[in-house]
Amino acid sequence: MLNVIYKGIIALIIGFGANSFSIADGELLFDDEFVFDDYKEESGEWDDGSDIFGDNDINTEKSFSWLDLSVTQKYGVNPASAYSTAMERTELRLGTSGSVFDSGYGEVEIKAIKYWPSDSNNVIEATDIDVEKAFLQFSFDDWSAKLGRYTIGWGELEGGALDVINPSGGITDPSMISQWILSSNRYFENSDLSFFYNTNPRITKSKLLMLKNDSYDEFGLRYGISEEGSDMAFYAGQLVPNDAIINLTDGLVYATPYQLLGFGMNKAFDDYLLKFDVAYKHNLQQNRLGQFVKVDRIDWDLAFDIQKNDRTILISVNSQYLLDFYSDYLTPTLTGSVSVDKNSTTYMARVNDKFGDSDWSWNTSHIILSNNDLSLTSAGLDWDINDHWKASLGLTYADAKPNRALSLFDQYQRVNLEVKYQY
Amino acid sequence: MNKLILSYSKSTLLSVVIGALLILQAPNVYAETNLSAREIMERVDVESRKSTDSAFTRMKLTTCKYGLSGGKVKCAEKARVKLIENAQINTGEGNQDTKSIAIILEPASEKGIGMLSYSYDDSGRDNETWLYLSALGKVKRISVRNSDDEETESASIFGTEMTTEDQETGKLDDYTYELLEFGTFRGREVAVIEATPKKHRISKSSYGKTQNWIDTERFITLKVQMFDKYNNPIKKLEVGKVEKINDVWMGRSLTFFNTVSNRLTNMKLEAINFDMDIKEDFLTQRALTDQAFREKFLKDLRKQAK
Repeated sequence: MLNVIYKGIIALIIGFGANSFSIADGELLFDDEFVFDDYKEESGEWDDGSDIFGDNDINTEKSFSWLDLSVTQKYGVNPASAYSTAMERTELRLGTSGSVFDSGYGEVEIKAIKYWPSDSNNVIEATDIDVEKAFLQFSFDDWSAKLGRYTIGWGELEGGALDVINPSGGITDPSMISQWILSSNRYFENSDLSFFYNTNPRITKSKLLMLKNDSYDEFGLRYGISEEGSDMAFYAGQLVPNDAIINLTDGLVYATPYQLLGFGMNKAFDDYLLKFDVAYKHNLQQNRLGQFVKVDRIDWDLAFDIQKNDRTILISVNSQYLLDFYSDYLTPTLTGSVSVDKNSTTYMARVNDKFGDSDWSWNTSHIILSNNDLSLTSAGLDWDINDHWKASLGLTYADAKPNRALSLFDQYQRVNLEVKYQY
Repeated sequence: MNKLILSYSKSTLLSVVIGALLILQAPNVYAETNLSAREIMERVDVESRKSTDSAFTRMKLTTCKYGLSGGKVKCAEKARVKLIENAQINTGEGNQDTKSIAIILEPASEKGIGMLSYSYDDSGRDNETWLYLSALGKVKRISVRNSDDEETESASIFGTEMTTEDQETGKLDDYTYELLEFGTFRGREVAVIEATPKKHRISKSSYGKTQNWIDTERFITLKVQMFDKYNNPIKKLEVGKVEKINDVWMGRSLTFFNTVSNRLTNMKLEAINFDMDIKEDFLTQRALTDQAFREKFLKDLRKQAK
């Protein structure tokens, strides 16, 4: 515990120090007096030649302007295990972006991670270098094409019924993972038609298990329409599941494609933004007692995005409804298989806000997953130190029902601290 | 990043500049003291619209917490700086609506974020805003404040002291205007006009009233004092560096002072170009998702601007 506190203090001191170095010593803003009196008394107070910041005071020009660089130091401890360190890693990101020929644009970002000995991943690998993002995009008349590694978001709700192309980092890390994709768009006056193709979909599975037939392609179409106060889109595609599923009859894992038809829309009402997605999914893999079958399912979600001053609130419900349900449907887990509900509902509430006009902000969320199989609570505190430095503290706690699909996460607890420098 | 995005404006930055500054293109207009308050504001609005059409701007937004020292305003912390490019056109019936796109160039943490805004003159139509979030690979519509909740303030523009309400143009019928007096302000003949939101508008406004110092020759606002609904001064806009650019009078430096939070934001126009060839096709969601398309147009605009 002391170790954690020590590291936290060090990180905050680093951030504070960085901030302190850049505080101007009484930076002069005006040559004239500044008062807020009755309007009649103010004549002549302002010098028309006044400039708040002299040109030399605020310099936004940076050396190596083509280079985007960030360094992030992450710590994570597990309070449930005597505050032992679960994560201690340093991430370095280098990137650049810009025009390519007359009608092209490209971006590339490389991520290198150093896992320190106390990091749980260190037993697998000490360092990792990966392409986080790399793509070329060309645009001609009403067409554009994009090839490379990036993310595509479908649907209105992140992680919702239609957000199925890019996998996420899991329940405790919802950030999306990019994939190698070819996509093309045709633009019309108030609508657009897009197509994507992925020859090597990323599939999450245990390294101990063998994936059967992992060479499926995935592809999809989206037709979006934008109207005043509302956007909507229709979807169709063949997708490969982001998570492989173990076949209880032969012990191999499968990620065979399923077909999807969907619709998503949003509608603005004053401060509120209503979001709705619905998807019909055909040929999803499913274990039954002694069988590995394909089933159909209807997924939908409904969300309200509410903004009040700096406060944003997201409330959502997500449902997965199995068609042709049988009571012997099973979900495999590490400790055996468990029964499946015909309808699985997930609720989420999330709030972000600032502390007054300060550089500090907070967030909290509560998610009840899969008919309350798992309850996940998180809270965070962010400090926007300056244009280059940021620090954040996060707490996560999960409570799962025993003998259910997500029981592995029971009593999951983490305290994470992150300090980031960006240039 | 999400926090930043959620604090983004729902409308155009150029409108802030132009709508607040109010421009006069004709060089030989003399003070028209016989105009009523409403007529002066109409004149200001008309001239403003002329100059906002097809404009391409590069601006620097500088924000900091301030204090007074020796009678001078001084920054109490390192200022936050954002560098932005903005393209805007007027559109719709009578060119009363606007479409614009703003792209953040600096700081690095926000670089490339684009915001598309459609602003409607008709108070019965809600303004619209979309953001492109590259991490999610999608365009998100942002809900725009139009509710009747009196406790809700207008959204901050890019996390600065400017709000969406500060940039609004048109909607003159939403206010009553009173001419407080004529006088001289910073060596210019001005009319001080008080604008009070009407009943249907006040519930949507952060302000109980504003007092506007209007240059009666150039029809440009030199200063605005904003009051809350209890008649307390809460914010002030000062306009500096008034210049004639492309036969248009405008201030190249606007400073918003929030006297409640003691924070200020200065908007400095580094470059502004009017009568640019900005096609309406560019100001669509495509400009957010198709970076090649966007860069091509921006390159074109930068070339035109030279």
